Amino acid sequence: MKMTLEAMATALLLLGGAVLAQDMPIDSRLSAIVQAKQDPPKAAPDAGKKEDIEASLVAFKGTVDVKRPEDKDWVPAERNMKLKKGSEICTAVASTAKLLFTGNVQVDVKALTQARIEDLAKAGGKVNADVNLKFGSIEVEIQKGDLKADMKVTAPNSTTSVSGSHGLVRAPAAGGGAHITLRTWTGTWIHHLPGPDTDQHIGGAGVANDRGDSARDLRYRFSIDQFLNFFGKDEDELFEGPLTKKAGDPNPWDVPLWEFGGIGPAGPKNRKPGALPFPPGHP
Amino acid sequence: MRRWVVSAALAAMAAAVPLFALQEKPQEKKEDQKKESRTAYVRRIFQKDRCNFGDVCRIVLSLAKGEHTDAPFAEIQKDLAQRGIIEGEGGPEESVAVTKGTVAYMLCQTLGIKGGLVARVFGLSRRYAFRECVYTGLLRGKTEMEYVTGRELLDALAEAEIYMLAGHLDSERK
Repeated sequence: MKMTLEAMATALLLLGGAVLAQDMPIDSRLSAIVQAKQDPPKAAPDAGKKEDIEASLVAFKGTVDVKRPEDKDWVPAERNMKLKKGSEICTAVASTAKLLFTGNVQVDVKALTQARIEDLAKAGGKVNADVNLKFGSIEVEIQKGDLKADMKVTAPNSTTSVSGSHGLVRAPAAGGGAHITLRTWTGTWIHHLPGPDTDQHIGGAGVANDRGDSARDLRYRFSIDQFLNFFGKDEDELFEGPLTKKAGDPNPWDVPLWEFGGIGPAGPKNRKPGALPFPPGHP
Repeated sequence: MRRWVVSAALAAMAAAVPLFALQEKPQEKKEDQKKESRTAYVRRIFQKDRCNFGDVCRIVLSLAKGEHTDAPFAEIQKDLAQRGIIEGEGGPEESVAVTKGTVAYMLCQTLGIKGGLVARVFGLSRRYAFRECVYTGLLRGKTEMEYVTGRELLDALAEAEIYMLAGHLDSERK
């Protein structure tokens, strides 16, 4: 026992409390060691200091209004306008706005959206951003940079934590939680639905839809999306039948009979080559 | 005599001050109305339990033109009639509550959704327009006779804008 205490006191010496510990009785040494174990090492005072930062409205299109904390009413948006914590932004029909939180965090506010910057601060090489999405949709793109970004999008019935990647969060105005579409495989998005144990970790491209769908349906849709993305196909391509068409394709009744054969899957437009051509420079 | 004249003039001036103040108030009100932000109608629609015909006409015309419009209701109605989105005369008044069938019909006309075989043969009615919008994903509901809430209208317009850009409502575009 005494040897153990001696060893622990020696460790304390290495940590910087040597001078005090040498002259203390054994009980005091013990309490000093326990105290040292309980108190975590204090970080530098500047490392955890929270510093509020401002978002910049770098570009917008159409009718966009903002309401900063110092504004009494909504004012028309201007380019390079600074939005700090507590600011709100609202877009009308056919309008978008692009916000730059930091150098590597970009938020696109889509049409018919109202959002509020709840928190935007920098602390110890990390940026905390909290956006409250009242209705509408925002597209979040977080790229790798010097500052680690930790973003949270709060919709009326759900919360999404974003720590990387590129995706779109949509909060229907009629309620029912958010709808998430991820653009890339990187990063981790955690979607929290109301109720216990309902966190969903979304690691790759997929669609989270909690508008009345059951958890089984969510898993089914995730697996389908991941399968399709893995093989480089999308839903249209998989479920494409001989009578389905894509946007821009003519309807069968709009095509004259003498050209009808050309629009089917075996037509010249839709016929796929048997093999890829040789690359340039191939003998 | 002079004292009477001076006191009468002072009394008249004192009585005129509140009259001037009353005259200035309507001007201030007009200025306040002009100062209303351009996206205020979006937030107002969001809070409404039932949308009226004026709200729907304004937001659908904004969608059709691709820009916000502040025109009065009569001009909006005329513009929509010229585009074939609503009937020219005899339409509902501005304050009338709108059903989902009417919104669906206006959206189908705006987006160029012609419907299926029956709608093409018998013409696009509100009923078929609503079923077509439900099939497309623009609207949700059971019948075309339901009234539209503000939130449902905003959702429908957000979906309609994606449809207008992409030609479909693929999940990747939402």
